[in-house]
Amino acid sequence: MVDRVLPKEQVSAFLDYLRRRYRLWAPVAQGGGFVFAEIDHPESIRLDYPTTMLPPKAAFLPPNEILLSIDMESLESAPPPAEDKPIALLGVHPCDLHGLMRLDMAMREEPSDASYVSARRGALIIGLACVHRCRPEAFCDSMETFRGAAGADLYLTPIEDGFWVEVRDGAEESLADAADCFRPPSDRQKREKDDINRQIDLEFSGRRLSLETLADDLEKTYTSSYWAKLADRCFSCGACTAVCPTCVCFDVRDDLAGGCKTADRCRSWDSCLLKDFAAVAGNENFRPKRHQRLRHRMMRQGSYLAKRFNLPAFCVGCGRCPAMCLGKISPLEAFEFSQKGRTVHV
Amino acid sequence: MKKLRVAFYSFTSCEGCQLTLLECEDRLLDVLGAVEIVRFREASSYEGGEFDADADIAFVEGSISTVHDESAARTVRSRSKKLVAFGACADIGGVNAIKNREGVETARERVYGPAAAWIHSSAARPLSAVVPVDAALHGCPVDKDELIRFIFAAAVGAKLPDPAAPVCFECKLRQTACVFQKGEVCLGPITRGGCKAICPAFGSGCDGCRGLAPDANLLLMRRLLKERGLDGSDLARRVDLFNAAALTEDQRRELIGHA
Repeated sequence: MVDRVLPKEQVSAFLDYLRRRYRLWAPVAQGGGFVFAEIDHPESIRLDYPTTMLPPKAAFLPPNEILLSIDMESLESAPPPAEDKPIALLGVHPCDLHGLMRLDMAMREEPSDASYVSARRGALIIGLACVHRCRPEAFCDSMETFRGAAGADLYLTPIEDGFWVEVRDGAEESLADAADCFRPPSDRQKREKDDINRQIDLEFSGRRLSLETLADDLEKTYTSSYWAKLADRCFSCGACTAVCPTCVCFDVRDDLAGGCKTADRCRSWDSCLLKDFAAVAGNENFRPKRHQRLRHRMMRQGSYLAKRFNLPAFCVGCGRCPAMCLGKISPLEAFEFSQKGRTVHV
Repeated sequence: MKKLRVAFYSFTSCEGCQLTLLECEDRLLDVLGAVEIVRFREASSYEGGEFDADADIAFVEGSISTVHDESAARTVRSRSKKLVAFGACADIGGVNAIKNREGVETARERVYGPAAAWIHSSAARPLSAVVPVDAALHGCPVDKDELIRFIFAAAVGAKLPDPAAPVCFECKLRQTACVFQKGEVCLGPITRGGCKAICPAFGSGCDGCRGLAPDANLLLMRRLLKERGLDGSDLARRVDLFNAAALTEDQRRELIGHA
């Protein structure tokens, strides 16, 4: 890890560098909120954003994409032409960095996902510290995902003079041409950055879960009547999975195009909350009831995938799903329920 | 390969769903390359009989609200291998069914005045109330992309899956700020998607034109709408805009009580 400072007056030169070398994605304002978008005009970038509607996952796993196009006469198939430049994701908050790491685990698990691996190849991830809680629904403190650096090639902490930049080992070379933008940090800047880190620890000190046992505790609630009761507040609309940084399920279908001359193999995000998600041949459905689908999502996020990938939880506590859910269902309340009576408060 | 013979017909409707196909301007030649259109009054100068063609697939727009509609629907059914309910009126009754709640006689007198006795009309019903229907394209109007995908799939003998996700799901994918959370009334959480959440994207709450989503939580919708101040006959009016003939009596009670 190397520490650098990106002075305010060098930020625009650094953005120019990023745009020359990468397809730059960053948060911008849209419709009263914020979204990650490919940047045409650097002045539209909003690094003061609290959080985005969709997570930056969409840069590597788009909501809708064409995996292959098949010529219906020759039956030859080819993926869409590769992009000329890799993606740089700028301004990724710690919860989303953790989300991207989990996404990586799921998509790179053998057999790895070709389209994802190709979109992710050579990407530069630039994290951005959260100094304040983005919204009341966020529970990154409980999930211990409010601290960054892990998962980022560069990790920015805003300081008075610009940004403190932690450069991951091995990431220097991708910055070689931008070396002029950075300065060695001064002692005063170091003290300021340490102060900010202490403030961050104070801001995110509302831990409400015992993460060490969450995966086991949650599984024990499987037969509880709690889920049916919780499902009274669930539309089973899939909004929670749509905004989730760690939901990875998708559907693949073939769409004919161009007067049936080509067939596009299309992939789109799916959701285990939707009625047809677990429908199979013979008119059967593994999870026909709403509460079964809601429970399944919570189990995936709090237990199943955590165990599979040896993590405390798959959910990163970004707070998007409880903020979007009209029934105000939060994974935190389900996780807390499973630890009722022995939750650790720190 | 012999081209699929496709016909378009309309009963009680505004014919806007047929217009939606005509508005797929840059894709019309592709459509004509894939299928043969044998009847399409709105798009042709053919002056022969209206329901006199045999078709592999008939797209039928409009609800059934006259004796003429009913007998013509039977004719179309008997001359078509597959029948598709084309748009909200044919699919769920649509806006025409508002009159069912008011009373068919009352509506007829209000619309036709002194000439009411000359005109026959019945309750507005979806196509499936009169003849067996093989598939439905939902919405008022139908979605262009879904329609084109449907036609191309049919041309090679495939069937498009019916979308199961409520409007909310696509609305999130589109990154539209939630209009319900902004204080609007929106039926998106209980309405079948596939429309790419077009109404919320333009700032307007969902009116439910694609009918109920599978397994819709009607009690929760009612509770949230009540918190929003929408209840009783106001709620009934909102629901009845497209779904007056679409809900079972049980579903209706769950969603709007006894209004």
